[in-house]
Amino acid sequence: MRSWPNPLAPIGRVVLEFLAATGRVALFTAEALWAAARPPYFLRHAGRQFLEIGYYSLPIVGLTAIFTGMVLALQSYTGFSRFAAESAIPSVLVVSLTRELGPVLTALMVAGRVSASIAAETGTMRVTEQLDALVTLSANPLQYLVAPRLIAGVLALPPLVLVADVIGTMGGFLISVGKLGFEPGIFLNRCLESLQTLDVVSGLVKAAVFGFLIVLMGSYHGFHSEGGARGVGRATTNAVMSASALILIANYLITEAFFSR
Amino acid sequence: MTGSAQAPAIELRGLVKRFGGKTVLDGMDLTAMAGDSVAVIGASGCGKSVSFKCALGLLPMDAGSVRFAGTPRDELPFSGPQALMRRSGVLFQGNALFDSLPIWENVAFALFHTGPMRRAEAYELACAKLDEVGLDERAANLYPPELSGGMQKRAAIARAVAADPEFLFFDEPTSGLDPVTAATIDRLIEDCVTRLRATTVTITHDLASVRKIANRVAMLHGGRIVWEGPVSELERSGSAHVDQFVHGRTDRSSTGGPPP
Repeated sequence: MRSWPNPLAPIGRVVLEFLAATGRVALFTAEALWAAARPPYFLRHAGRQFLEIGYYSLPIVGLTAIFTGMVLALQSYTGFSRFAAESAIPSVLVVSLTRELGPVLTALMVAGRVSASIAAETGTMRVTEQLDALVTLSANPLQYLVAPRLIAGVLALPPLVLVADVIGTMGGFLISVGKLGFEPGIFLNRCLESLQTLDVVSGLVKAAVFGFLIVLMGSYHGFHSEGGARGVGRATTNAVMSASALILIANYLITEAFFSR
Repeated sequence: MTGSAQAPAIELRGLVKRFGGKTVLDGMDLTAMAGDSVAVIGASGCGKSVSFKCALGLLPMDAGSVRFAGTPRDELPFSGPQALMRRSGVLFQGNALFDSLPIWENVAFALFHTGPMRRAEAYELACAKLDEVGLDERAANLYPPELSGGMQKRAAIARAVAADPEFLFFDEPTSGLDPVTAATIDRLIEDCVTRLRATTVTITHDLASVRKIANRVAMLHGGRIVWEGPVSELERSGSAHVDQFVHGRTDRSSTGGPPP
């Protein structure tokens, strides 16, 4: 008897593969957190990674923030002038930057730079047997490679986001004052009046979570890369894609948690 | 179970390793007595490197058992002086030196990063170990990509023996080296093995190297050891697979398939 292909089978396969991948990531996360919680602690390594993730990301984050602030001011003016609501520009600018655009754009830029770099480095270590060598030298690769980066990622993103918030606001300030005719004092006063502690705190919490996800995805895909240069390339691409997707998903969930009431 | 004085230093029994549907190791047995230097020979892709990774637990095996000095590997502690990795030194085929660390930190890694030694003390010890393999202090402060292939191999040997291990594993120590450098590496390995009196397993297909560094040879074919004996009997092993390997014959009748 001839059997017809089940049209639901491909959907089932995709769902099963997704669940399996989620399980693998969850296990890797648990192992990495457990590794980070117990000695030895590679603090020098964590310090180096803090510089790598935070300090060396400053130029690209600053550039992204200043132009985002400038565009936001211009676009807000275009929209708000239709309703004679130009005076709301400083409030909209500073709130949207601190709550959303600062954390999300910073994290996406850092994901492109850091997730890719971690995945490529760890993936190369995998295919050149350096991860095996770590084990033979009595080092747990999760403790030596992942834990310091996770700590560095969680600690480096919040200050980076604060810098992005300030630079972005300055970008908006430059356009608003230089091009749109705002009084500098009034603009800054409006910004400060509109900003609440929760706006900044929610942005910093997001930044810490995004920092964790960026390092986790880079490490996970690097650790599981195989098949030489092509495998490392694939791991790098997957790391950036999955980190970016998780940042956007986590952003919604954290926003929901902070501001849904 | 604890080891006794008569127990083999390294004992692999019935090792099975499959990748997907392909069986690479199919019941491999190997024994090395204390102080033995055993060379595992075999054609490229026959599973030599896989066998040593399974022995050390770097790859999970599908069946079989591994004992070190009579103690099952899984019963050895994960840390402390009795931990397998504290008692073993490994030279990887591609050296596997850490690109992000200078050579001296590579050599002293197990002592400095995961051991009790202080930085200055570790630096001195690393320089002494590097001196033993013919690398000076200038090389100690360079990074792996700044060294030639032969120098990297020397540094990797220094790292493998830095903690004075009981068990040494060398994976293709002379592959990709010119004959002069290969002979130098063989001599270094011979010196290290003699000095440390370590039980050594060398994975190789270089017969010149085998004759210099090993006292016993085991031929891996079809996932099993098909012949094992002293190096002096390599030429008169009576095994078709060994003869083919030693003489480099390419007749198809004696390749592949199950062991005779």
